[in-house]
Amino acid sequence: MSGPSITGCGSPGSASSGASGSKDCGAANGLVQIEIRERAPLVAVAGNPNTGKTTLFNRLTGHRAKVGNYPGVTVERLEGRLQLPGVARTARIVDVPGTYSLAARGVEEQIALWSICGLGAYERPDVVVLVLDGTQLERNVYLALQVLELDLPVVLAINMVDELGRDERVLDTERLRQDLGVPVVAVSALRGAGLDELRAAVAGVLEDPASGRPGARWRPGDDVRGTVESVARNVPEQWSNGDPDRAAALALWALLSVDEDDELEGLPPELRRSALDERAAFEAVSGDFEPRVIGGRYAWIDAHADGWVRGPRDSRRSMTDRVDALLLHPVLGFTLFLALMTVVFQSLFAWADPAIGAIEGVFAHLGGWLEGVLPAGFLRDLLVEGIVAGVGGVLVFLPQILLLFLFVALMEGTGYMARVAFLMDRVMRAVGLHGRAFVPMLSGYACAIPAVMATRTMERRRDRMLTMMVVPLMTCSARLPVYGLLIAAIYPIGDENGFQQGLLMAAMYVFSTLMALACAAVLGRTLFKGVPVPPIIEMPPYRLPGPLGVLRVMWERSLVFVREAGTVILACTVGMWLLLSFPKGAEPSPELRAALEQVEADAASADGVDGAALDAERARLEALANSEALVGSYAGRLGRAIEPTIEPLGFDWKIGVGLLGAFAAREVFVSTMAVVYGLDEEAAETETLRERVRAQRRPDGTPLYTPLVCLSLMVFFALACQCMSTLAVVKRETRSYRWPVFMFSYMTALAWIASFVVFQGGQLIGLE
Amino acid sequence: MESSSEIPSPTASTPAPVTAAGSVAAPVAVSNASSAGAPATVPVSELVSGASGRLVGIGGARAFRRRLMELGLVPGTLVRVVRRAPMGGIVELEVRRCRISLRLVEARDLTVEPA
Repeated sequence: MSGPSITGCGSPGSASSGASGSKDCGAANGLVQIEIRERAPLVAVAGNPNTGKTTLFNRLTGHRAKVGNYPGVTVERLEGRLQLPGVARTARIVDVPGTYSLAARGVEEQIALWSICGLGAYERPDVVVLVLDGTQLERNVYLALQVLELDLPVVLAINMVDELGRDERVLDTERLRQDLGVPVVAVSALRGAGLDELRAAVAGVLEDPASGRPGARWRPGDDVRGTVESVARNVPEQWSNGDPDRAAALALWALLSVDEDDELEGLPPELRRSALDERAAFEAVSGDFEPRVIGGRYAWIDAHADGWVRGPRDSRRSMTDRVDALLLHPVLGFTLFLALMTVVFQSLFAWADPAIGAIEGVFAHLGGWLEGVLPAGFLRDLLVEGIVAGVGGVLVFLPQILLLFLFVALMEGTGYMARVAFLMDRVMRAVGLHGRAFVPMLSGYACAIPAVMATRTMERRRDRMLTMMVVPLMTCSARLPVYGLLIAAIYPIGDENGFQQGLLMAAMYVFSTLMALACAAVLGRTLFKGVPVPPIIEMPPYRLPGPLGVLRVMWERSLVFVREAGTVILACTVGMWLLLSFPKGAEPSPELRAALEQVEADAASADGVDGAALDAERARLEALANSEALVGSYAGRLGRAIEPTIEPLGFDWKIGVGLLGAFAAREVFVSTMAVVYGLDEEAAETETLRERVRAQRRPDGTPLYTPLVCLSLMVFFALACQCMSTLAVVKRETRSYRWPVFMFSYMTALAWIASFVVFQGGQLIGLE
Repeated sequence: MESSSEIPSPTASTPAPVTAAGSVAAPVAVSNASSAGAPATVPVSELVSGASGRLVGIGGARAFRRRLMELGLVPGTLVRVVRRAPMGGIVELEVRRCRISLRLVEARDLTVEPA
């Protein structure tokens, strides 16, 4: 993450001098000169989405870029180092989020202009590398025209030239260079061709910035010039550096971006006002403003584009057409889509299991080993039960994250993700979700953690947030052990009950799905209302993604998860451990102690005692001691404290302790209940716990786990946000505490209300 | 990760703003289709798969119109309907070698002169 630049012309309060001796930055004094020499040059890489920009960026940085964040928004920022021939200092290179235009309506879209132009706290780049898709130059050059209007040093990298070559089409780089007036390099990011030439061109423009700043290619016509000039007077000096061309370009940007209800930030009020007023004044007389500008730029492009690429019409499209005829076919397309989704789901649900088991095994082993070699005490317990268990609890998510992002990277890289939106829009739109939300929602059946992370495939913030808020309602695999226990409590294991058990489990899946969709519909019409209209989806041609790029996505996501969400999860694990194991030192009750002493005495006398029976008795008593310790712990006290709030749901305080323990992860409920009921934790897997559960009685002697209570508890588990890891990952993805707090609150409230309705309603109609 | 292919289209839910002077941000000015005996114009959503038309105007909120224009859908551009989504509701268009998909509801705001 870069701080404000020392020399950035655009930074407020730094009107002194500019980078690389640009003509507009005024005379540099000696001090600043030294600073310039010490500052590594900054190169920004910008371009349309789907141009291979990220692939090129990774090529240039040798896949060693670091993921950071743009300040104040949830957009990630890649920064790496770039070696340039003949340049002493290693340059820094940043990736500008892909965009079709610099015009913006909200904070996230603003990043493109702000980072290319060095406005606000952003550092002005010394060179802007624009990556253009050579097979779609007309639309790509539109962005290039805007950047050239801003009078910034530019190098054009024309990507996908290998695809052009395959179609016997030839890029005329010389013609492009003449028309656009900047250095043009043909590259293939996928094959790594043209990279040296690109580096040389960037070095050349660093050396001689004027060679990449030919000035605007297209200028506003006489019809709108007066309007632009009026607005330009309100462009701050720090933005334009006194360059009238840049002021005009920024005025034009404001005229196309500012709206009564836009969400732009950091715009001077007088600029906003004048853009609105001048545009209104223009339109009162002459009709819409936008076509004059956008149409003007495209007219320039249409007048020149014929010379840029020569050869037959794009045959690449016909390949894509043939594939689309299959993949978007009303019957075949859906069948193939469902087959692919089955594979994705199966991989998360089942194929990840061995790896998850292995990770759990390694950490259990490590914990056991540490327990053996370290002296007993607080530190050992903290290390084993807090930290080792916590790190294991973080890493255990990696297999599913890696697998899901393997599929996501493949679907994005090939262009299939756009088709998912195309196929699923009708279905998802019914509840206000984006078509692409299908993949995260489906993944939510396995685990909410990777599913929440996969919401980033959606461009609009509103779609991402809405999906993220409802994904944890899907029945994840961590709920299954809980349902298993409770269903077994309702229907004792036995062949004759197999059908009812299966039916109840299926009913829970249906229930969670319907609730997730209902919540999406409600939240989409309330909290996420006002953000409008359906998306415009680009359907890129099918391409083969590079294996390195796919691996890079998997690696990046895992790293970000471990580093950012992992630390929160680890801290929560330690916190949960403290809650569940302290205060320590509470002595066992007198009766228990007496029983324990008796066992030890029997063991000491040795003669005529059944050793196995003694061991069993000892284990039983130790489990009882553990149960007493848990009951006396903070969590135990908290469980008692919340009893009045969960009593209307049919739960007693022991279940309350289980609910608190389940916050670490839902399946922990099962082992917590085992400890609460004085069983060994291992008993959680066996019939013993089920029998124990069925045997629980209320103080009045009636059974505690009636079918109605079990149902109420299952409904609670279906809806409550019993998962700190989900909250940690939502915090990471939204970069705020607000959203995890909201998620926890609404889900818990929903769970309470639903369980209340089930339990109280059930009692009313005479169920038990 | 490779950027996704979606164009955020933050069209305001509110109707296009009415300016002080009372001009409503209505469909893009019709530039060349107003001569006498001009061919009938239809919404692009009415075209069958494979049919083309020359874009005459775009309606809808300002931000939405701007986004479409920036993708090359300026008046006078040739637009071809590639296909409709299997379950309906979406139409795929080809514009300047690029393919974009729109919901039919919005596609009704794109007026073309069938070619």
